[in-house]
Amino acid sequence: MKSRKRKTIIMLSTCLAVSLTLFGCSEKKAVNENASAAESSTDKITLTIGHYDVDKNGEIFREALQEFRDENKNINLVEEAVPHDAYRVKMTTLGASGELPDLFVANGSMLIDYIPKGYVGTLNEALDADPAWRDGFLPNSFDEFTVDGNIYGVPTAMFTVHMIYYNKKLFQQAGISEFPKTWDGFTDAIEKLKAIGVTPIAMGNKSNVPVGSTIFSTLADRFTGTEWFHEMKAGKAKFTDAEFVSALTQLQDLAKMGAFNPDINSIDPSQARTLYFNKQAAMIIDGAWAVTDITRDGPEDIEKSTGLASLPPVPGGKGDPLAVAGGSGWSVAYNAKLTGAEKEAAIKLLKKVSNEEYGRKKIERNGQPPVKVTDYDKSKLAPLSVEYFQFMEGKKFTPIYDIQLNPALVEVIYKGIQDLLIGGIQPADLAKKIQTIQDSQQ
Amino acid sequence: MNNSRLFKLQAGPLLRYLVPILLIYSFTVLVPLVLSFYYSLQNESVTQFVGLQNYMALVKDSDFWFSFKNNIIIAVICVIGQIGIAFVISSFFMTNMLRMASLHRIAIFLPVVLAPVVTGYLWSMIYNYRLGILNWFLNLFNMEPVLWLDNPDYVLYTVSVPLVWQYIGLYFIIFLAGMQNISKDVLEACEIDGANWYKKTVFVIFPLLRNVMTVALTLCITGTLKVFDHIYVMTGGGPGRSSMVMAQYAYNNAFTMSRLGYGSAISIGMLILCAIIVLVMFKWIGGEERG
Amino acid sequence: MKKSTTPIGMLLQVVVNIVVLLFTLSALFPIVWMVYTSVKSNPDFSLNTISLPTSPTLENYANAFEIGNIGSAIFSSLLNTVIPVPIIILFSFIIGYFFSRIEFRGKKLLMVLFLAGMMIPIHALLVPLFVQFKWFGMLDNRFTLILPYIAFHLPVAIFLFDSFIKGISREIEEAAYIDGSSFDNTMFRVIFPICLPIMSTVAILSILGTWNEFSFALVLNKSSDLFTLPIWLTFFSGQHTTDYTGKIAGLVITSLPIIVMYLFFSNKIMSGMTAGAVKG
Repeated sequence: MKSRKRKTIIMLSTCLAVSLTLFGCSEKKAVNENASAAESSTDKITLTIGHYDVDKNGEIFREALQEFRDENKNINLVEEAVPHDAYRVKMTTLGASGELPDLFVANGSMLIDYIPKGYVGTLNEALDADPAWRDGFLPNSFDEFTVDGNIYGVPTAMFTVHMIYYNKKLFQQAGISEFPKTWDGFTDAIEKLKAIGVTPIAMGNKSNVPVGSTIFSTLADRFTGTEWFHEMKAGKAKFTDAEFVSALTQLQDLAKMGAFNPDINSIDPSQARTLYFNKQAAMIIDGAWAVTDITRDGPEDIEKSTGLASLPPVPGGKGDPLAVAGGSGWSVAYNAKLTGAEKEAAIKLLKKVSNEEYGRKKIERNGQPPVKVTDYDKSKLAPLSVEYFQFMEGKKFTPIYDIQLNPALVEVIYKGIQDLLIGGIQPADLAKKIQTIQDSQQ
Repeated sequence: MNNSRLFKLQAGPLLRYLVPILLIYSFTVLVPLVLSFYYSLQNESVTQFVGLQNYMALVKDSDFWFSFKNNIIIAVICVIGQIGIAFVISSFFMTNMLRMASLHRIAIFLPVVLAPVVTGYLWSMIYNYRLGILNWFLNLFNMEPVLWLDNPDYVLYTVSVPLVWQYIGLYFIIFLAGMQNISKDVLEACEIDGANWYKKTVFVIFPLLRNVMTVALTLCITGTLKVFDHIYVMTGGGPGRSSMVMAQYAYNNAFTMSRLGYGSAISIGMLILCAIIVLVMFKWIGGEERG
Repeated sequence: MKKSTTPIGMLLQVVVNIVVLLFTLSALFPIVWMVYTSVKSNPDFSLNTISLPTSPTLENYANAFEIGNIGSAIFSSLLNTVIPVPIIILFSFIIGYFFSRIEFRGKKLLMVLFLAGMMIPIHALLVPLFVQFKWFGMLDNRFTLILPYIAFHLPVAIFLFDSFIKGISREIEEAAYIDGSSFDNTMFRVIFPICLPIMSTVAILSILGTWNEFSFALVLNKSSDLFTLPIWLTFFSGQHTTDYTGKIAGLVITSLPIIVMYLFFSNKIMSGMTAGAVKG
């Protein structure tokens, strides 16, 4: 009896000890954090920044953060960085519980989710206090991050998400002398390319975003015009409108005529790019970022024979026939909780990643900065990059669906587009389905 | 011997074992589950209480029921594929038919130790239209390549195959463990009686494994009804919604579409449907036992 | 024992052997493929995914060791497996024993609660658990993942133990009690060793589950030195690009320890089963 009691006590205390160690450790750390936070309030400020620039393309951003650390010894900048897909999951979880980092990279769609919850600080004051900074940005670069006149994020880049990269040599082989200027010419070209045994357009739409973002946003605007988009957001126009349905139909027709690789919905953009690099495909439609990828990873002859174009105008379309979907898309925003010195430090960092010097570095590495860069070393640019800037000259940006609409709507449209491409749903039915979600959101 | 007295719960063991474990389990599973239910009663961005509105929407959501139907199909394939094949293979092991039995034993279980994500990834390579090994084989026989993961007509079956492939080994091991517990005397007795493999398996081994079978069925059904990783990696539920399953649908709602409230409602809905199915299964097995 | 001598029996035997052999090969091939693909270059891979490497290179592995912080990822993964797994085995054995042997009020309810744990999609708990851990200040800690990892793997493990113990004859315990064995002694010294076969299954399943867990490791920790291997693996894919062969090398690095461990212990696992059979 006695021994049993002792055993009970031993077991119980072991259990307690185990759980206490676990909890205790956590608490200890929390206390330490508090302590260091208290200390820091006098000399050192700790800022956390969430971003996904962990790969080669993010080097400039990471370098800027490092420079910021070196320049501001009193600020302890902690990076919470994971790759893009993981970042999105993480941010949704953090967003659901209001635990966002002090600064974070967010696109327009994410901000639409966060702003009503009061998570994001406004930048109007800071921008007005520093006119040189404010006026350095390209026109309209704040559009996606502005709600009711309040600016919530500093753009990280400004570019088109719709660019047709085509192989001039393959086009010549198929007997196409120049990139078609009419829709009929475009479909003609697709038939000719098919005839010589190449995939006309290679796309990797496994994640269902690429086609929607890089093709459909522009194609839809060709039909509806940008005015329709704003009316739709205001609830005055509907997805069931004839223009929008024709855009869906046109996309489905492209798929039906075999414009795309048959495995479009099971490969990713990397694999689609490989098809283009291996001359198995004559075109890829991708964002401006592919300029960097093609110059860095593509074979030399491909890089040389690549031309740039955008979708030709559609018959009876209401949109600007030259405009392309684009804008700034992603921004760096700061947490509305920040005040005083922390807020100042955050603004300082925002300036660091959006000033002209940062823009210059970006452009010299074939990026597309959101700021005016007057003086940069043009010789550092790849030929394709030079061509890109020439191509974009005077082109207007139209809305990118996945940036300007809320996440629920984006998922329904883009997933629906995947269904559309395989003939799983009819354009009119999809339009209805999208409108149902749109109605439920208001 | 009075069993009931011997196997009755006493205060000591209760306090020592049951309570602490239950506390940990409640803290990390049950409380979050209740919290999840609480979210499901809120609007999309979890800012406002909306009562059962999400559940009303769920009942009418054709995409949800479509994913449920897909889950049922996958579950049926997996019950037949995983448990069926595993049982047959393990029954071979009870005979002297197999050569290289130890190699098979080790190899068949090997896929189980791969991460679901790795399995999904490997199989999306195997299914690849241009470069995958399946189409390479078809090409050897001069057959047209197949769009394994793009065709909505059979994508659901193609994504089920890796599930079956991966988990046959698990049920194989479970059955083997169960079969080893069948007394050797019984097996020898029936061999002396001249029973062949078929008779031995159906009339002797199968009835003795009823308990193990229940375990396997429960594991298989609960596992496949909440299957996520494989499909997430291979198709993400696509193309369109053709290989959508409930867990993926809940995930998309909560994490891609930022509709945490509705996403939670889907998860709770899943739990309820899953519970009903398992209950029916228990009833059915129990009923058969009586009959 | 005697072999089949009839022609049909022989034929059946051959067919059975071929079928099982094919399955065995299908189980081995992907792993072999993964290993040799990991020494291919990306261009080589994109032209032919199946062929053997034309010019094997260890570049992918060299790169892999530069991506993220692989050292701390390995350490974190090890820690988050080595601590929870024995606890899972112990806890689930205890509960499984209680469920299969002891009669007490509320047992049905408890069983339902644990069964429910088998049916919840794990992502449903992600946000709630994050919120809860935030309240208790348990986020972003070396030990943050231990409790969830234990709790998540209990239901299946309990279920396995419960059913296994049900198959063990009660006479064993009755004899032990007559010999004056205490409750604890009977449970741990008499029954626990008999459970070896199922224990190995539980161990493997829990090791796999904890070693490969992704979502909670991603969300509950934010410091990069606490990242586990599954998080590290995501670093091979950017927003618009994926390093395929690099990723496959990464997959080999994360899967190989488990595969090697399994191969190493597989004999033990199998002999454990036979041991169970003798005692049962």
